[in-house]
Amino acid sequence: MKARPELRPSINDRIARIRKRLGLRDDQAPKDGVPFRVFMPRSTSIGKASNATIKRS
Amino acid sequence: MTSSPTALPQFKSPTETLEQVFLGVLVIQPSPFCNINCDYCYLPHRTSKRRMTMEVLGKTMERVFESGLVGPQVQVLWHAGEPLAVPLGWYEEAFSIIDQFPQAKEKIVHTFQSNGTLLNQKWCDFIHKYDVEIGLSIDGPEFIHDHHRKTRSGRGTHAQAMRGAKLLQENGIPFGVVAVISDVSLDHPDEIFDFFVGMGIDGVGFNIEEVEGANDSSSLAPSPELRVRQFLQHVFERNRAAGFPLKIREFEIARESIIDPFSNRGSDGTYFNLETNPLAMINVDCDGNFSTFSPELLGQSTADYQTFNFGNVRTDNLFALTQHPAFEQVYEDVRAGNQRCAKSCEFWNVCGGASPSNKYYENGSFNSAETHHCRCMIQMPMEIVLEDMESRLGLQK
Repeated sequence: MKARPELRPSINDRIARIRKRLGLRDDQAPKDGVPFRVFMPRSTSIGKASNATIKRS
Repeated sequence: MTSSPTALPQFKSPTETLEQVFLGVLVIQPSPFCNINCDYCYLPHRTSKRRMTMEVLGKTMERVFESGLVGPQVQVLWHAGEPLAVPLGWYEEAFSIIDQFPQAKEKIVHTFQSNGTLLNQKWCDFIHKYDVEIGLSIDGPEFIHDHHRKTRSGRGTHAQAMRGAKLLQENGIPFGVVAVISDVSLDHPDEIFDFFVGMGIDGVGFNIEEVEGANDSSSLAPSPELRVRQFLQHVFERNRAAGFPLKIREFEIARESIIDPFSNRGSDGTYFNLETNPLAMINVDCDGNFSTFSPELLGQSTADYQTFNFGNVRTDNLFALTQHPAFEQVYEDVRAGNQRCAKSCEFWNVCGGASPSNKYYENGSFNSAETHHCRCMIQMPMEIVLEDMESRLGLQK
């Protein structure tokens, strides 16, 4: 009998689970005090970084 | 004649017009010349000393501001050659021309991505004066950096780059570093981590050595991707154990995608990727030719598309590119490639289609999905950060 492939949660499910544990609603951005602070290095070159360094604010 | 977004042609999707886009990054190539000769460089004309004229620069800015595409902020990235190989006086004139546009001081952030070897006190004074952001390209300690980053006579450039870095630090100018990860890097995560922590820099972005443009092979090609994963994992664990002294771009992007996924969304709610949205990034070469999508496409020519130059600022407004036959084909393929990603990749929501240039140079078509680059630079960092957060939050399987 073939072993059943392991059911692995999707990336989206894993992100949702983390956000839930952190108390962030589906539509909620983090507030100060969330324990994972985001920081973008300056001038991290073109292309590969630019979609992260420029935000649609 | 000026254009405005309201006069734009509709794209093929009835709901999608260029009105939904604003310009995030303007890459300007003051000259294709580079004073050094890294063996993995993708730039095709880096021995050419052609230089952008002030007329072309002024026209570029005129096209940008008349377009109505300028949003809250535009990053003007001076690159596609070594920007500091152009004399300081050129920038003094260029910046004064740019500052004559009413919105420029408020909207524009100037950025140099430099090899750092030509930095001197005058450059530091200029960087201070105009509040220019600067990133340096340093691959790690000398024996790694000098493996690929050499002068034309074959000498290493590490000492010169570090002299530039030191000068920035002495002048109180913060900077980030981009480090290319090549085959020689993969066995030395400790040395690379210790080196960058010791430098006291703001942060580092890792770029794997890519097959792109003039660089038609990568030293990473024979390496199993597992080695890249092990490298990234080791660096992450060293950083965590030390209390995260080093801000590493790939991990920070992944963390942001988890914690603050709304910071970078398009009007349709999907991840907004500058490289796959036409006109979100405009790339202008020293002759005024302009392109969009990945900056690495600027100046490249291929049998498939002939050219990625979709217009010239001297004769065309930015929206003219939508009428260019090559653009139509590229855009159709980029969109089809995005649809493939959306259907086939579980990382779609945290990526938005990655980099078209990597798709083209790795897979032979923009109409393709996963690449070595996205596996190493998007998927692996995301997996590592997810596993770390799950562990710290008690969410392990």
